[in-house]
Amino acid sequence: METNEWEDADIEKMLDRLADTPARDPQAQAQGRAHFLAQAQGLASEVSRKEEVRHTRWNPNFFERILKPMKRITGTSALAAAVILVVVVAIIVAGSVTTVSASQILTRAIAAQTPPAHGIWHTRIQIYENHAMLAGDHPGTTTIDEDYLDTTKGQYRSIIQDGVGDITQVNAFDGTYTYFGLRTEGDNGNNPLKVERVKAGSDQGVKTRSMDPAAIAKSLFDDFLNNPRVRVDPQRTWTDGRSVYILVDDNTQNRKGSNGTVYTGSVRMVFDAKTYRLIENRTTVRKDGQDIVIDEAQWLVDEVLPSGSPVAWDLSDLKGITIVDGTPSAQASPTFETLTEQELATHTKSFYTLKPLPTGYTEKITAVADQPKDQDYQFEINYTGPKGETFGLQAVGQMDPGFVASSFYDGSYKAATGLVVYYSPSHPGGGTSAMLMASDGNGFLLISSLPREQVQILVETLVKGQ
Amino acid sequence: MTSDSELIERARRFDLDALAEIYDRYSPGIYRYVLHLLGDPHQAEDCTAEAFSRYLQALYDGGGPRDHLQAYLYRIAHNRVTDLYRRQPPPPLPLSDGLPSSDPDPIQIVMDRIDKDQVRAALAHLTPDQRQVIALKYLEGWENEMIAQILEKPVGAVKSLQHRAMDALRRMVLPQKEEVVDGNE
Repeated sequence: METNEWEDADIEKMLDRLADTPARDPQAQAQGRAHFLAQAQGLASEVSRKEEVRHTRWNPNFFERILKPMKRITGTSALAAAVILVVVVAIIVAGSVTTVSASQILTRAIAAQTPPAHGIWHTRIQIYENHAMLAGDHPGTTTIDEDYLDTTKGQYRSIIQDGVGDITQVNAFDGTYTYFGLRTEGDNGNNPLKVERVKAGSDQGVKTRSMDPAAIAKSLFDDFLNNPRVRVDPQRTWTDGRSVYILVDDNTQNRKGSNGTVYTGSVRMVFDAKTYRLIENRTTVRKDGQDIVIDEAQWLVDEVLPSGSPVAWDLSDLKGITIVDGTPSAQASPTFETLTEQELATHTKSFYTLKPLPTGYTEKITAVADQPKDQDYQFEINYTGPKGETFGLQAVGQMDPGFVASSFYDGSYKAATGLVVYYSPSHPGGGTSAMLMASDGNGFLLISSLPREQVQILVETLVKGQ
Repeated sequence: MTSDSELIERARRFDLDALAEIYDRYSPGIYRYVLHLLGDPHQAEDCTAEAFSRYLQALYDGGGPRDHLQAYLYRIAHNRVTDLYRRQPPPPLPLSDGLPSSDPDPIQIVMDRIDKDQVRAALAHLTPDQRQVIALKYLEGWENEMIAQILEKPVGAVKSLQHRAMDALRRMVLPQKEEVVDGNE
């Protein structure tokens, strides 16, 4: 035993020799930090987009997707309202006088959007969009959103179909798996929609149950609520005979057409007078003497089904989809492929290459294979010089100028082409770490073994891909 | 200083300031740890970058640690080091030159014979868990409780791994003592 202790002390002293390591190269550390933050920035923007259609799934379909266009248009006028006033409009009904304000209607409507404590909330909404402001008989596109939400169990299912009944988007959580499928541009719908099924995290149900649609509704109705120009329309009976409240905001919206002309229009929201549930909202613009509908959502179904009602949360009833088991990308090992410039150009036009290729330099373009079509194409272009010097560009997508300014603050250089190099701190005389920014907002992490002066010479010869 | 739990929560929302602080706080230690094991600054930088990149990917997929961030990052780095060890066959162990030196200081004898690469060669012959325990305890100076967090094993298991690792190292790097055979037995 004593011998072992003596020997262990020897080993510890021996290991101590390893503990004496040279200090980390500050330049390499700065480059590593810049690379990490650029990757984080790139993923952050992807997460932001992905969140819109994937993770929050149910809510966007119901409130954000439908009401965002309206919010966007009314936003300007709401901001211009210096004083919050609510116009009280007298509504004369059958000889008696009932005074209902727009704010009262909206306040009750906000509360009414709260999902039921029990049961399954089922909605079927027809959405019409004509953002090009085309005149004629419904020249825009129509989709049907059908949603089920069980906030008690956390299950949800959201299906979007286009005007001919083809499924274009699927989001669901059946209690065990999440499902996601999105038809991409260029897919004509002849093939089944691929829906990826992934084992959900243990907190997925909690996430669903923690949704607060009422809060979302409130934020989206706030512009209307705080808008002094909103009036209550005298019409009280809807086309199906129901009693309704109709709120209108006239002549306060601006929308710029493709020819630069600014058009004004109105937003109308229709609430069931008994339940205060939204049953329609419509945005129009006045163009060439006509009122043209640019957004319209109509609630065809808005009901609460009893708890336990049969709903195919696992999408097993759907035709026109193919369910495949997906792998969380963190566990998957990406496959890399080498591309030519021509092949890269088929994926993206946002890339820059050295023209002409400096003497003795080689070019290698690398990208992850099978990248999603709805995301920025990720790739790297690396050059190696005759003496082993390196010059590489890694695409990181749209960059927030604030992030670039705060992380790559050690000077900048603007090339004649308009490309701007923002340097991160590094050793003078050593290699270079920087963010190369194009005028379209796309960023490229630039890492080179060359000093800044030589990097700048190379940047001057970067030519946009064709 | 911002608490780890706050940083973790902000990082999950891809707060870039929080991610930068996490990198600044933990990358030096991760780098040093990997460098101790691999001895190559370039590989150490690569492994450090890999650890942080995998962390971002985990966040992107809605995962990542909810606590013990440091242990999480060390675990990723260690797995990467283990991968590298697997790809490269362990270097040959240093040959003993026979009889123990007459130098009265046995420590000095060992120091003279074994340089850093040889120590790493010995470490390469340990199992991944044994290597991690030895590196964290003797090179990083961590307590067993912290090591247990990284290995996700009980403290008792850590002590057992340490004991077996030291046994293995003793056999590999210390001069073999001549067995004294008692002729009466």
